[in-house]
Amino acid sequence: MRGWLTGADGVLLVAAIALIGWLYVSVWGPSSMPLEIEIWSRGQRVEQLPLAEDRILDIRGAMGTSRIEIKDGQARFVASPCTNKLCILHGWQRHAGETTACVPNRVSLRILGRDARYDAINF
Amino acid sequence: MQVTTTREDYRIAWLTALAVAIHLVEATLPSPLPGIKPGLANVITIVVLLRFGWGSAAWVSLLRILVSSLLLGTFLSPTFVLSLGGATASIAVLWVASRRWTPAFGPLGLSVLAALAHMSGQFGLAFALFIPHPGLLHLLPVLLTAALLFGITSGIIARMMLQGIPENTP
Amino acid sequence: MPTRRLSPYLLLLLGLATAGLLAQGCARQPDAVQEQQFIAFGTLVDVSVYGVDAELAQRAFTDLEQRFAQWHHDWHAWEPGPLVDLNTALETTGEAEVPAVILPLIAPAQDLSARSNGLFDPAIGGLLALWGFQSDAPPQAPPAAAAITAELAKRPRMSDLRLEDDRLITTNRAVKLDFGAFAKGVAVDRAIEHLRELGIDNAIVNAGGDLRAIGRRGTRAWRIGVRNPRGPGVLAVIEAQGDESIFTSGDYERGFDYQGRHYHHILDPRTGYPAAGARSVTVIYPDAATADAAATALLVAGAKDWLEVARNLQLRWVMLVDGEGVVHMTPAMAERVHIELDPPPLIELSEAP
Repeated sequence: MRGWLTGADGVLLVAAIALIGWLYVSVWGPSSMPLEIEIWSRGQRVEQLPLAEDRILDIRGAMGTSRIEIKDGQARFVASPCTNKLCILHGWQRHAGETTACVPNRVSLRILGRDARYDAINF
Repeated sequence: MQVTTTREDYRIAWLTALAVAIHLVEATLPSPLPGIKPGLANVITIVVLLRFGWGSAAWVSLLRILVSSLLLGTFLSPTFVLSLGGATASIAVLWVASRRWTPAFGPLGLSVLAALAHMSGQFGLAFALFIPHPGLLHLLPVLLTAALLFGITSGIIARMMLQGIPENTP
Repeated sequence: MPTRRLSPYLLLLLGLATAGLLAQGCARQPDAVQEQQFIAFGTLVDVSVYGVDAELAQRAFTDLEQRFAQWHHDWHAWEPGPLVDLNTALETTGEAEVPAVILPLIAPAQDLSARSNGLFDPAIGGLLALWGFQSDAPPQAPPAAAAITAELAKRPRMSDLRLEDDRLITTNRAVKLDFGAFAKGVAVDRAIEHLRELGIDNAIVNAGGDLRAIGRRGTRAWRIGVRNPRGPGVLAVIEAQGDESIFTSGDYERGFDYQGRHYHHILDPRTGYPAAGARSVTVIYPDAATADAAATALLVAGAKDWLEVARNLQLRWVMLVDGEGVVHMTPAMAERVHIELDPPPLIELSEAP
């Protein structure tokens, strides 16, 4: 009388469970790589930091200093020497690929992720 | 011209009819998500594989899909395409699994393999042909879990059936 | 019963080893996208290239930065340069020889202006100057209504110009060329052309939010997010296919606030005031110059007339957000766009243009 499971059956079952478990994690879990924020000033990348850590950054630009706030996994311009303040009005950025710039001050921030949701923003 | 039939032919025909019957009954059951069917007709495929070889199993599988779709009126519909895709993937995997150079799987292992291959084949086709939306991937682990469970169930039933059909049945 | 069968445990070991290698490979994959930003045309220009070695990428970035600076000078509407000279000559004598760097812009601009029923019209430089938009500093207040009426009465139109070889003759001295709604598109087209010459086939040239994308980002298409015209975040995402331009004109770009009202810089040539019919328009079209002009014309056309203009310009993919936030789309556009906004806005499908 043969048993219910052969050796191969057992290995298969374990492998199948492991594979399906892995699928759950990769498809349903949070993004595999933590998000980062990238800040450019006057054509150069000046900062690349994890988005997970709250902080305030003062970035020297062409016109003066722009202040960027990182909080709760989001980032935004809070102060800038430009006249229009469009950068501030644009508010919080949180998804990989999102970007805001203070053009007169030549300072911009962008959210990076391993597989950015957007490669460029049209506006 | 005389067509001679053997006892094996009768057996296979009878088993195919059974497979079609199971498939038809399943088709009437409501399913929570499209694509989640217990796939119990697979039991027949595995039994045929282990008693009559892969060639017969492949025939039974394809005939079952064809006949069921004709009877249900779904021939050449998207459902049919998905079923066919799943079945093809399934028998392909069973071919590999029943070779001399691959590990010796029992009815349970073969059933699980067949079920996972069937679901993967269906998913792949659905993704490629009908819904190329990355969001669909979220369903995959769920579908495969169901396939695993139904595969185990089918495997147990197949095992029980096989005990009733001794080897070397003429 | 055959005895030489592969041990299942060996198979498992092989499987685990493969999985481990794959995982390692994925983790260590360097990002094959290289990017550079620089300022040109008063805005941030962003160039991304995929699958190109660092040296070639750097060469491409340097070339493009130089070229953009050159075009910025050549086509500048108010800083001393070829265009200003041309306008001055037209104003004083009614005719002028067109500088070689400006010549390629004239005929296409005339054609697009005509086909957009004059809603895109680079001849209204005078109106823009009146509003104070021909300056780096934003205006403080709108011009007096009487001044606007007077300027409108002069009716400068692109159709007042006649191009004969390289001489431009105008029947209306009030014509003052300002290619603001067109020059960026031309520049982007030329930039892409240069990248191709360098052998780069997968890239995005993004000039202040308006871009042309060629090729793909490795295994997937370039994904372009369209900014939400009101509020933060992205309205929709579009996957670029092959070689195409995606341009958006909005009422939230350059402009100024006065007494609680916002005045933006895309003027309606018919009323003399900023276009009021829509919040934003997004156009997908192969070449950037047409996309640029089209997006402008459609913003001016607004929610009422955009379909007709889209028809005349032979556009397939158009998305317009009207004054109430309702998103209008051509059926073809609806198939390409994936709305990201949550909760999603009201969508109205038009008939095919």
